[in-house]
Amino acid sequence: MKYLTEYIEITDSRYPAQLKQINKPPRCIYYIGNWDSGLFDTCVAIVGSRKISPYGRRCVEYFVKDFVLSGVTVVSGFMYGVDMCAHECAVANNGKTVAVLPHGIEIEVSESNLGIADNIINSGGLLVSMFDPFQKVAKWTFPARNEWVAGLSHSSVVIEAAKNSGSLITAGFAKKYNRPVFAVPGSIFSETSYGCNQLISNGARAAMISENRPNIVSDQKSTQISKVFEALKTGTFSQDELFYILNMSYREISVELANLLMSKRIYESGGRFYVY
Amino acid sequence: MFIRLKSICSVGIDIFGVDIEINIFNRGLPYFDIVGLPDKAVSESKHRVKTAIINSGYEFPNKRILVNLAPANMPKQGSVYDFAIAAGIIACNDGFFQLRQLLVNSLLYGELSLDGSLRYVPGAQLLDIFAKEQGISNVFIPNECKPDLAKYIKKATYTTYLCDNLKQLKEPEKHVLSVNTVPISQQVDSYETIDLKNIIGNKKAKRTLEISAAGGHNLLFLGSPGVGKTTLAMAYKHIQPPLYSDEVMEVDRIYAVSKIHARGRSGGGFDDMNLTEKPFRAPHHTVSVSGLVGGGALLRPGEITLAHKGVLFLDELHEFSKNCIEALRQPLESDHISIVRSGVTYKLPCEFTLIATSNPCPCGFFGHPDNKCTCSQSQIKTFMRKLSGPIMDRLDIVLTIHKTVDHIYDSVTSSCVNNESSQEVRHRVCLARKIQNDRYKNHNFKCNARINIDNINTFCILSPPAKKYLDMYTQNLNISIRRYFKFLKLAKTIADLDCIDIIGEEHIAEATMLCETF
Repeated sequence: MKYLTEYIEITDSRYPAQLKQINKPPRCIYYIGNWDSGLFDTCVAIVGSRKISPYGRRCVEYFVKDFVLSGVTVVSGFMYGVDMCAHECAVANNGKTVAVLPHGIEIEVSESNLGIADNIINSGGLLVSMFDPFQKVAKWTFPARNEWVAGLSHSSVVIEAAKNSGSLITAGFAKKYNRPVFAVPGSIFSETSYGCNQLISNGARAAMISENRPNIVSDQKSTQISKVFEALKTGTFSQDELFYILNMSYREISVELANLLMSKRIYESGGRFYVY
Repeated sequence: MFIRLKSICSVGIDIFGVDIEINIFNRGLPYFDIVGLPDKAVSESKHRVKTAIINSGYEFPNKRILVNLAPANMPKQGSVYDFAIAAGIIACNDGFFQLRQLLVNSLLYGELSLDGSLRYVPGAQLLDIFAKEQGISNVFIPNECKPDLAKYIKKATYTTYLCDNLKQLKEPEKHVLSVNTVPISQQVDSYETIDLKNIIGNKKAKRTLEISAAGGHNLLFLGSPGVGKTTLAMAYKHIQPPLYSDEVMEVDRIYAVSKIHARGRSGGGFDDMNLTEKPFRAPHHTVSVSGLVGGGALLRPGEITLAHKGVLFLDELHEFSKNCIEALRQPLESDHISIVRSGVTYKLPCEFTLIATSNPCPCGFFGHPDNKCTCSQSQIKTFMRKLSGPIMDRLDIVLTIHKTVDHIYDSVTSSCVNNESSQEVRHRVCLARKIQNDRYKNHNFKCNARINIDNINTFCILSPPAKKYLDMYTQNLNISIRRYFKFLKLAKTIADLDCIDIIGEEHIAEATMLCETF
């Protein structure tokens, strides 16, 4: 299925103002979708490692829901990992998202990504590219695209980044163009949180749970206090670890975990349980 | 002079009769030959036979002798026909009329030494099966084969003659094996014992071993290198229930045939086969497809058939070749494997419980809480694709084994004093299996994991709250029908371990925890 590609030039009145502030703003923005200038009124970039962890996923879901509710557009790089998760979350919550492609607009999107590409466009978002239309993916196209992601957004949030992650480059550009940079702190033992923690210690702002929207899962359904749930709120555990920490029988833990899974207050990944 | 005696040959695990026809001509130059597609060992029989007969003091006819091993188009292998040929030739001499009468309805099996004594050959157990099927009255075997056949002596429908030496054929009645013989039990000490009580932590993993052993459920342990997956699987050996009496015969037969194919080379795990225990086969991941499923001209059974009625342990499943994993499709689906040889399809049985271990990705650290995985997305995808397909659907239990986290290490080690021993767990497993055996006595499946779709609702009876619970769970979490049935069977096994008839909510809850997503 071939998409219809269009473009706007820098001289056009619709060209996003914030992008003109960067060094050598792109002469032409190629795009697929319905151009709506309102999309670029308030943009936040969500960037991060290609290896997203379950923790990273939770963070993306938490922040994206917030942004989308406030009418903010989510900008990201259409790469597997944090980027894709951000685009998917935005679409799932009826929000708008702009994907800045790391290649020319005429280069075919890979098959596994056709679905999300469709969803982005159908939900009022855009796929954009500032490269030559036939520019293929290369090592240098990623940092170039990162500069545009930072340039398009009024602020950036780095969800997870390893020591030498490309998302640190995006953060660098955001700082250069005086856009606020937020980073999500993570476990000091986690390799994918190293970069984020480093950003914070070098002056970026820490992205945390806002007091106005604390992370409460709809607790109205349950009136009983679940020891297992309380434990999982403090961190993620496997069933064995829960057994050794709590003073409950193995079977009691199984029953509670099954109930929590069923009522969608927790989910399981790789043998460990996480609170939504 | 013509005489016809009988022996056997095995193809796959089927036993075929071989007729040994001996014709001694009255005219013609002295000549001794064997026809009927003999292999080298069978052709060399004639030298052994002639020397043995002469050394035993009999007269070797100085005439033209032709031995035909029928059916003529089936290849004959091995040295097992020596005894039959020699006995037949001896019986053709004058004065052996009674021996001739005796030999006409007999099975003979054994190898000859040059001095006339008889040597051990594996496979005597198969004579028992054939003799009963064909109604043969007498079986002649070397004395050294007695342990193999003595197990079945109580229900024998034939007379067994044990011979050390061809000389004893002069008075065969003196060498009959008495029905009152006590079979020699092959007690072999297992040298690789890992008791569950010596394994630290891993409470859930040990519980899944118990559930798998009790209900015959297939199991996969995932985890980073070094967390203890292989150790846990080795401990599984010692909580297996024993073989039931009707299964012993089947397994013995398979091992007898394998020993024959091994052609006297020891090893292969046949020698330390203890027939009171379920077989436990652990092929190395470099095994070839034919080593795994069987093959060769006379259909040597593969590892999966040797694991029949027992356990097939595939350590490092991800290292097995794709062809090997694909080859497991039919066995896991229908408990047998069809092999085609020269246009004929043979079915070898292979009803086993599969225990497998694997890393979650090429580097082994996918999903580790410290995010140490260094694999690219496509590497992980390719890795997973290899494991899925035939195996994934058939696994009832998928469990990730985690490294014991530092902050609970002390409480884990201190609670080790309360660990249950393998013996205690085995006791529960045996009870649960006995319940299942009784319950399914009129069906062709004998354990919960193998209940077929038709019967699942008859046997897996849920209490009303349990039914509501399971339905709600299935709906909320979009569980497929296949998983639904897996849960039911697992819950039934858990209920059996509790010795409870009707499946309750707590059994369902525990069952749903056993199959992780990854």
